[in-house]
Amino acid sequence: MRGLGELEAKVMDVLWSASEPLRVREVLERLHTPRPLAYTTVMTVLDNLHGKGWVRRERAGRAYEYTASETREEAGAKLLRDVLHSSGDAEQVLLHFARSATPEESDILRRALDRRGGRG
Amino acid sequence: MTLALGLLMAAVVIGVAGPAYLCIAVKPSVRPGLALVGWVTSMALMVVAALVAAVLLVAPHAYVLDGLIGMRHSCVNVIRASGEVAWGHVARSAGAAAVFGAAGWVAVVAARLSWHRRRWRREHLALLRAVCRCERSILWMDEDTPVAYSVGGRRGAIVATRGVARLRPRERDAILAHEHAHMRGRHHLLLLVADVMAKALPFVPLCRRAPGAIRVLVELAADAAAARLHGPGPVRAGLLAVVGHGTPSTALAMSRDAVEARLRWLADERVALGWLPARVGYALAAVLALTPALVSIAIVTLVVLVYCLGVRPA
Repeated sequence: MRGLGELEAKVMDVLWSASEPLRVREVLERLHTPRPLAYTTVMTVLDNLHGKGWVRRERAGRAYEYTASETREEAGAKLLRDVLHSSGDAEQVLLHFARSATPEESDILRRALDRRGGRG
Repeated sequence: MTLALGLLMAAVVIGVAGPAYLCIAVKPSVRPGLALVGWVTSMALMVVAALVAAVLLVAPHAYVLDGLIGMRHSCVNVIRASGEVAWGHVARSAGAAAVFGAAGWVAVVAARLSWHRRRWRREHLALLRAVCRCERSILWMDEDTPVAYSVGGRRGAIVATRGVARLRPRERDAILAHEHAHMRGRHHLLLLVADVMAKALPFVPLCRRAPGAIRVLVELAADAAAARLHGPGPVRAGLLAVVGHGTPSTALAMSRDAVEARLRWLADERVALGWLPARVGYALAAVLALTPALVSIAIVTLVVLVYCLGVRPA
């Protein structure tokens, strides 16, 4: 899944919360950002999201109407799958509650338990 | 000069023998947090000892500091004060250059790795905040597989799925307490430090083995913290519930081995809980980690004394 910037994530949140396709102006109205955004900024963000495959758009009159290309649940499932399967970055940055252990780590645990066993 | 040699020796002893004596502390009767303090302190100590030694080697009049250990007037300083021997100067400069070079390399690796991880984290968190519901400072994901994990950093977060929310309350709370312990203990930062040291100085045994040991210890420390709050039972049940749901296709399925060990650990640890106040324990662990350094300095001092007795003109 291609990554999202912070503003892009906020725009996706607006599209997921909406029940119908939204125009740029409507997305802008529903965005709650610390500073008011320019119309063109939101348009660019939506255009980028379209390029990344996160949103679909259809022409309605003179403007585009945008919808999220997958539901929030689908996006969540995909994100989680990425986290669980990736062996690179996620493995190193995140601390899972029940993470897979490298042979070295299992070895440390096992030897530690044996040490106790040997003594008592 | 004696102090500088002693500190260099201390850095080498800690770097080479560290894993051997630190692993002794990894056992169920010792609070995992203490072993964690021992590892982290030892790594910091090794770096500080080497850096101070390098400064002492090249700084003018640094031999005055040998007075701290009563070695100001030792013969090695007399030679230094009364006219330099060229090779001695070269050797000292080379030693210092090696240490400073290594320190610079560590800094470069640290900058690269932390930048890389920070970027990954920022993107991941942005995605999470879009996809998840935030409730009681936890990001909840609509997924039936019970999964919980934490993202470190200043704006870090704990992520849990609907599958976790549906567990029994005590199990759910134990799992979340485990993740909170990671955040409170800054475990992600400790892991970053260990990874940086291992990547920069893989030929030093203490650094090479740090990531593995610290990964194990932070999990055990978080388990222990959760067990102190909710009792070992719910932590065990939580672990089993999370692992039990892992489908073979996910990485979770591979964790059974480690989880087995953690379960046995939790069963043993009840004996160890609370025989020492935590703060006292941590201070004690830090002091114990200092011991090899002090012993090294003492041994070098002794060697220098013996050497000086030998070279004294009859």
